[in-house]
Amino acid sequence: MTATTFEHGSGAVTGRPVIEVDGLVMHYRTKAGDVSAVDGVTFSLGQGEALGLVGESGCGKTSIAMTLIRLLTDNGIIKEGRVLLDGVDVLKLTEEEMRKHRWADISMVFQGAMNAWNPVYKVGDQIMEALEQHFPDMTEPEGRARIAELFELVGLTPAMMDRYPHEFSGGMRQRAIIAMALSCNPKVIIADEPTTALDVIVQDQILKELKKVQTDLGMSIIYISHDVAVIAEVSDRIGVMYAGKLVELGPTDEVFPRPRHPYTYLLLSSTPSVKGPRRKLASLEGEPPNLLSPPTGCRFHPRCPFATEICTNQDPPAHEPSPGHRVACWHWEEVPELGRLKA
Amino acid sequence: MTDRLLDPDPASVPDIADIVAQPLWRVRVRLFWRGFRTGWSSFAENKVGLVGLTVIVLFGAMALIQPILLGTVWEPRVFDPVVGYEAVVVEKTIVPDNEITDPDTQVDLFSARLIDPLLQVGDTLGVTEQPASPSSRHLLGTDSLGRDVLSQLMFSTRAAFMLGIVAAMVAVFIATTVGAVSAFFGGLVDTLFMRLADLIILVPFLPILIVLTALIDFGLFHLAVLIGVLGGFGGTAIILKSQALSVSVKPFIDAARIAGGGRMHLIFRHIVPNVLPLSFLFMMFAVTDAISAEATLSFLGLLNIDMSWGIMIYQARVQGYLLDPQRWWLIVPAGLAVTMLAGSFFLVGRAMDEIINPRLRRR
Amino acid sequence: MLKYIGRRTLQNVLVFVVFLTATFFLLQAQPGDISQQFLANPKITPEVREQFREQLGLTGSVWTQYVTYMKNFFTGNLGISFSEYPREVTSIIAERLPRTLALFLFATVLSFWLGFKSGKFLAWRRGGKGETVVTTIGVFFQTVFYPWFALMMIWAFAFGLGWFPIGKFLTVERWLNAPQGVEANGVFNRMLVTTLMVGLVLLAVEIIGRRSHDRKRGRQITWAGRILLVGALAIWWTTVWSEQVPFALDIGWHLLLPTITLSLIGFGATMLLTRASMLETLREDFILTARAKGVPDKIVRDKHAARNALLPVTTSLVLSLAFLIGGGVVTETVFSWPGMGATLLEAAIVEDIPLTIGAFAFIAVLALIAHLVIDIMYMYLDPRIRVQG
Repeated sequence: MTATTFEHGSGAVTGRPVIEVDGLVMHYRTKAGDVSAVDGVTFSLGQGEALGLVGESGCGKTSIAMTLIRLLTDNGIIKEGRVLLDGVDVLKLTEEEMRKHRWADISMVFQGAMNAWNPVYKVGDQIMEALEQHFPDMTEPEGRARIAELFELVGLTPAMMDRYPHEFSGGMRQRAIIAMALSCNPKVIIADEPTTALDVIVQDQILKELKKVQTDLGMSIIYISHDVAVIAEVSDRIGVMYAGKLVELGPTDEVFPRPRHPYTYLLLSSTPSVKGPRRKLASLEGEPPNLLSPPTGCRFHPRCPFATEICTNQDPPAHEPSPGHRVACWHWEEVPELGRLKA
Repeated sequence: MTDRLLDPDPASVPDIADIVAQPLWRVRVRLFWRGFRTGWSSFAENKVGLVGLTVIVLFGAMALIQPILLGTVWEPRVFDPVVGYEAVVVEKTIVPDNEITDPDTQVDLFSARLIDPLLQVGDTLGVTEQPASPSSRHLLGTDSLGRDVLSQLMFSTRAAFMLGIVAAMVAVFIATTVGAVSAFFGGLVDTLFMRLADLIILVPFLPILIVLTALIDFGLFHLAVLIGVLGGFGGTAIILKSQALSVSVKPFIDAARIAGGGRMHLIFRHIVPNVLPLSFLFMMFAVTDAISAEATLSFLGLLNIDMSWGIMIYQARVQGYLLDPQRWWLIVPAGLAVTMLAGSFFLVGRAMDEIINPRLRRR
Repeated sequence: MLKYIGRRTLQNVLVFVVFLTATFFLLQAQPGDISQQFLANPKITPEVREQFREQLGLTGSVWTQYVTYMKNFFTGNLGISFSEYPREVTSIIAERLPRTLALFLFATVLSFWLGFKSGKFLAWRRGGKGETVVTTIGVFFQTVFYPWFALMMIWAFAFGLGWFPIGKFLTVERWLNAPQGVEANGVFNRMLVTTLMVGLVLLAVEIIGRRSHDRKRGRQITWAGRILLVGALAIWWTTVWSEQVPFALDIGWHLLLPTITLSLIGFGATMLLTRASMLETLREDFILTARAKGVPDKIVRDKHAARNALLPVTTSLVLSLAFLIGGGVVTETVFSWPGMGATLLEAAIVEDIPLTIGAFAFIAVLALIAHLVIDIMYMYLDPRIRVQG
């Protein structure tokens, strides 16, 4: 019997994007009606690339993540769109088929990873569970060796695999989660708020780990966070979400100095920065819209200082200020550089 | 858009002076009423609670009607639940010995001749039937002492309510106080009460009551208090204490303390009122337990009460009718009554649970 | 972990001592000398009364009385029963205790198993008509008046359908021609011991099978163990105990309905709690993690959710313990099952003090031991507790 190689599928490097989301529309069915959580989102993720999705709570970023891995709650309905994972439309798969892809092709590092561990089983056993699920012919010693390897990768002592989750500190648990996410050599990892509830020092360590994973292992990562600073630090490209729409998408080093969408502008302006020129802080007035009955036209228009009549009537199409940089706004040209607020 | 926030329509906002000028009691009443109405609408959403409440009301009506009936339609001499008596006479045909096919309507010659030696086969004889089966006069028949069962059933409702409510109130009063005090003072007091509660949970309720009632003679009221005391120091105290604990760390307690509130004031004016909804909830379950406990004790023959549902079944047992399904009216109505009343309080409790514990609510 | 067990045992002993003391002082509170209460009872001769006084040490001060009382208790001298004079209390208890043990053990296991399985099932299939029906059933069993319910069970299944006997320990007619050496208590005790041992062996086999690292081999071991057990039992029963088996079956048949009735009462609460607990657990993050790993739903439900949901249910088992024991008393009364509960009741009614105290003490001990067992089980189930020793 040959030794198990922890590879899934072909593992070949192709030029094709790992993930392609095309016109995704998703609703949550509630007693009060349908909540339009994701409305016409399109983006793609290349191999070895880190994409950051940023936005306020409830903007739809976690919903997208759940859709990618097909773990929506029962009341989540996908209305339109395709989601291609390495060329395969996961929205068309049966549950049985999807289970084969979960973790082996796309895995997750959850929000609040503290509680992602089942308290009654050992950490190693839980990772072993993932391995056994996708590599059924693997023997136990092979599995343990793999886990030891993973632990070393994330900076944990291999002996810890026989301990229970409550014996780990918060930061250690997070690392172990990353180890588990890597265990089946997925093509994509989704990191949903990976650093919330961690102190800044541990936060930094975790982000460095994830960066290492991306560069050393060539893994694609989708970061999801409301923390703009975190996203800016780790992502190659950044996607800004508002009220279920992807309002801006582009390389981080383009979007940051020169955001093109009013929302992005205000979001970045409201974050104080230690470095960079002194500037007046902007504040975003109002609240995110009620997605049961979203605003007509551009969903941001009630709070937008640049809004005009066309914004209330028509949903803006995507414009391209520069190749690879998209923005959905009628007035993108008017958005100034950071630091100067229109009177 | 933002302008609207700073400059609201003057007519719609009430003048502060008007609000402050109202007497405090008025405000309190209004707040209470509003709270009650919201609570009621959430409660009423749940059919289960309404069913329970309806049953309770029905039983309450039963308890109230019985003395009225006794004074009007029912002659006390016959229908009094404890000392009434009616010899229900059933006409039976006399048949030759050993040829009885239907005991309800026939009597054999030998037994008939014991009463009147001159009787012949074919004559009819009025035989006293005790316990008597249900008839139009005695809707649930009579027991073996000739007492009307329906009257007994309705009369016992009073005892059940009284016992249930007294026991529950004592239990909850003790549990709330113990909980609040333990939470507030912590330390030795806390350990003491919690150990006591552990002890009480541990030991089986019924055997203790058996031993106690054997040694000491209890009346209904004293029994209620005893059940309340035993229950109050037990598991409920632990739950109420953790609730009190979560209240006591809230900032408004600190605010009250800084404002100069003494310990008693803090406990009884601030902590306890916030624990009360939970206490009230447990009161429902306490009533359930108390009613069942008394009925069980009476059934086992340990209580010296005139009449209760448990006593009714006990008497059936003592007179040998326990395993006699023919005479179902001696046992089934009383048992059903206990089940229904205890159950209805339980249902109300569960419905309240869904309100007070919103995590159980459906989306 | 052993330290924990040791500490708990000590606590239990302490509790027991507190009980005895409380009972003692309760007796003391009775007006007059307790032995004088039985002046009217013709069975109690002056010698017996004097013996009782001696046992209680009534011939000394309150303190010496207490010491004598406690000493007697712990040396196994529980006195002589008044109502079954001249039998010793200890012998009466020795005879009756196994019967209650059997009833209690089987009912507890059955009600827990039924409640847990049905609660698990309910939680996974939330909503729908089935849920309301089963919840109603659960609530019904929790609130029904137990003596009445037990009676209805007898009326329905024993009288009506004739599937079970109408109470009692055994059918006397069948035993009239029993061969030498076949005696009710002996047969019953052997039955009880056999069942316990079978249970333990099955448990051991399970644990050994699970420890094996290779899943296939583990399963093989488990099945091999079970088959061996069944084989051994079959051989034993057809040879060494062949005479006793039909009589054991008779007693077993009498045990069925009381056990089922008592279990039905207990299972409602377990079921409702399991359901609530499962629903809570299913919201936890680690359930999402398990599903994200690609684990099939059935395994998520059983291995991840149920195992965690089990924890609060086990804790509540402690509460239902007291309930089951109390329920046992009623069961024994209604079904005329001659166990400790019925003994306690009768002794209390006729004011047979030594027997009452003895019976009560043993029931309390039963409760304490059961509590301890559950605590240990909980420690095994929840690794987080183990650290606190």
